[in-house]
Amino acid sequence: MDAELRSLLDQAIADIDEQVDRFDAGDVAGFVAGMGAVLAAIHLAAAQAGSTSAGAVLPAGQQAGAVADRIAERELAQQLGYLQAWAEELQRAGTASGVSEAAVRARARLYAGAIKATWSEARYAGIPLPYHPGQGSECMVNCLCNWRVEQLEEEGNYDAYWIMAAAEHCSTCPARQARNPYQIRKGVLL
Amino acid sequence: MSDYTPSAIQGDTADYPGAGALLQLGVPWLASAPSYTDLPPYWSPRRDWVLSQTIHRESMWGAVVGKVATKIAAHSYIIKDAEDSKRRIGASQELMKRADGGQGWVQFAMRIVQDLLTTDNGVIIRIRRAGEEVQTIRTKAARPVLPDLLGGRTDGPQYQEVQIRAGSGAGRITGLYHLDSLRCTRTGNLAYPVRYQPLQGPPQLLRWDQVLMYADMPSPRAELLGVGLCPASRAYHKIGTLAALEQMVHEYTTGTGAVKLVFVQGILEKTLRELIASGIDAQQAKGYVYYLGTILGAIPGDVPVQVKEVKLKELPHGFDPNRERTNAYLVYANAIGISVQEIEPLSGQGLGTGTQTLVLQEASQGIGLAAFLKWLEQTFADRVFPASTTLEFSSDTDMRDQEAKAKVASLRAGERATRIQSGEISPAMARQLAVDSGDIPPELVDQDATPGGTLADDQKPLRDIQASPQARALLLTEPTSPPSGQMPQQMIMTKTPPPDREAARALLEDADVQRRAALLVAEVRG
Repeated sequence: MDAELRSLLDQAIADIDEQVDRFDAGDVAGFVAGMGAVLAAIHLAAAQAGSTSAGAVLPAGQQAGAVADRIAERELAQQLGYLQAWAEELQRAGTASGVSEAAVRARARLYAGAIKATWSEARYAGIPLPYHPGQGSECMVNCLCNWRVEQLEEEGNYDAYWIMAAAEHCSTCPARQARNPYQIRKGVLL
Repeated sequence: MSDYTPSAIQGDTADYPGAGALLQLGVPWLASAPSYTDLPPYWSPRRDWVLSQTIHRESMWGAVVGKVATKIAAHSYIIKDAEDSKRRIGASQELMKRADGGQGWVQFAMRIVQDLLTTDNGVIIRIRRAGEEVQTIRTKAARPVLPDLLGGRTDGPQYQEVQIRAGSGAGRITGLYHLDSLRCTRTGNLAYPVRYQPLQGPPQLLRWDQVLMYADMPSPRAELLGVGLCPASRAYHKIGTLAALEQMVHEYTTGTGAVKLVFVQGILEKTLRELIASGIDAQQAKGYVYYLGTILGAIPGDVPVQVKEVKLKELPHGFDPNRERTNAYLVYANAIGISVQEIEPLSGQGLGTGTQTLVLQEASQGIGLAAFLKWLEQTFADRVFPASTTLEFSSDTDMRDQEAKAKVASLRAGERATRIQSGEISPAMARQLAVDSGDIPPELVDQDATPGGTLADDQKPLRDIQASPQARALLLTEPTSPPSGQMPQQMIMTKTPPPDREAARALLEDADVQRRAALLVAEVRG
């Protein structure tokens, strides 16, 4: 995993933990609002960091800031959907048998892992990669894989490699790695 | 030059494409079994001339040949390319559509089917290639065999001028033409297997890559050089019988032809002729064409008139023309390789015979015409079309075949699904099994774990097939695990809630959020 992304992830977890520390089972709405703001900040940061990282490939004619805003909005929208669903569960659990802080913290920390996809998408926004770490895989946001992209001589030509970290993997990521290299020619994924 | 030789024995092929092949055929001609008909013995070009005229001699035989030729010509065909090359498919289809100098596939097919059915020499198809040039050469003619045996000629070999079409054997094929089988002679020479006599000009020697040859039931006799035994040959006895039968009926009904001699004693010939003439006058007066009516004649005298008849021809006692025709139609059908119901449709029989028709029709798929269609498919795929392109003819039973194949494929898919559910195999293994069974194309599996294996007669060897961009896009969507509902409970994904774009936009526009994001980036970058 990229060192910058690793640091960002740690900061995101720290921000989420801070929000969880304020969790009150009687004020789920307040907790969700706070989580929403945290998620917005970490996804925007991930998109900005990704789009301005060394080796980033942006779409022709687009600025890094605009790319980051667009990607952050899309990813955040999805996370807010999950957050809303969780809020409904918390509401139901809160009026039933209560919720444990440990469960809330574990669930909340899962939201941090989603910034890996945001960072990767922003970094390679100019390449039509089929998926990013944490998207469509069994490991979901726990995915430790990442892309390595090599630009070829001709413009618009790239070879992309799905790199698995040294860890236990789900069945999806080895299958993705088996397809290496992903060939992009003249901006089209072959 | 072809790597294939018609015989493993040296000496079975001619050293030069001379006209001597005809004399080689004279030996078997002399030694062939006697014929009970006017058909020349097997084999000579004269025999094929007679056979080709059978469609004019017997009307039902002519109709059957016409029907079969139409049926074959009307067959749909499918051209496939293993690499999905539209260019190759288009070029191959163009060759078929412009056969016979642009007259088209249907006309071309009707001609070759007639040659197939009515000549022992069989079908000869000319392949024209780009860059062919006409050259005139001298070739050795064969030394006559019989004069040598009789101690006749002792001079050296004779030469004659023939034309060849010089050009690269790898040249692009620009046309397919039917050649009149009666004008083609098999030379027995591997390089130039056919000599063709055009309507005008000298004979033409056709190189092995410029010609396709097919004979029905090719003779295993080496000296016959692959001449076959066509359906007309096999059914000639019946064709002749039926033709004679119809001729006799025609003569009886039209009053033409002498069927008997009648000797009349007691009146003069002059009187007899006057009686006939008066009858003809009466016929013309009444406007009759064939029916002469009864001629009444009164003759004077008390001499009794005696009549003696001598029959010149008549049908034997107990002869049943209908049964003879039915038998002949069965012979025609078997000779060609079609169902007899195609000649004599069912009428008045019970419903149970419908099934019998189906069985007979399907049984006939294995003989006669099916072999010719298979040869067309294989030969065109092998020698006319590009390496990755194949030809396939559809048939009346195609829908039933497709239904049967779909049922079997469905059974296989069900079996694979059961094995996935039980955990015996993964979806990836199931896809591999599906490729091996032919249920999905090999391009849709990224890496074939079991390449090679088997090859059907209508397939070409697999090369390094590269998946098209569209196939690769499909590959990327392939599942790697069973769909939800078939997995252990704890692995079932939660339903994805709808994204909230509006809320996301509002949050991102918040100044505090933007400040925090900038701070985070600055912190990680030191």
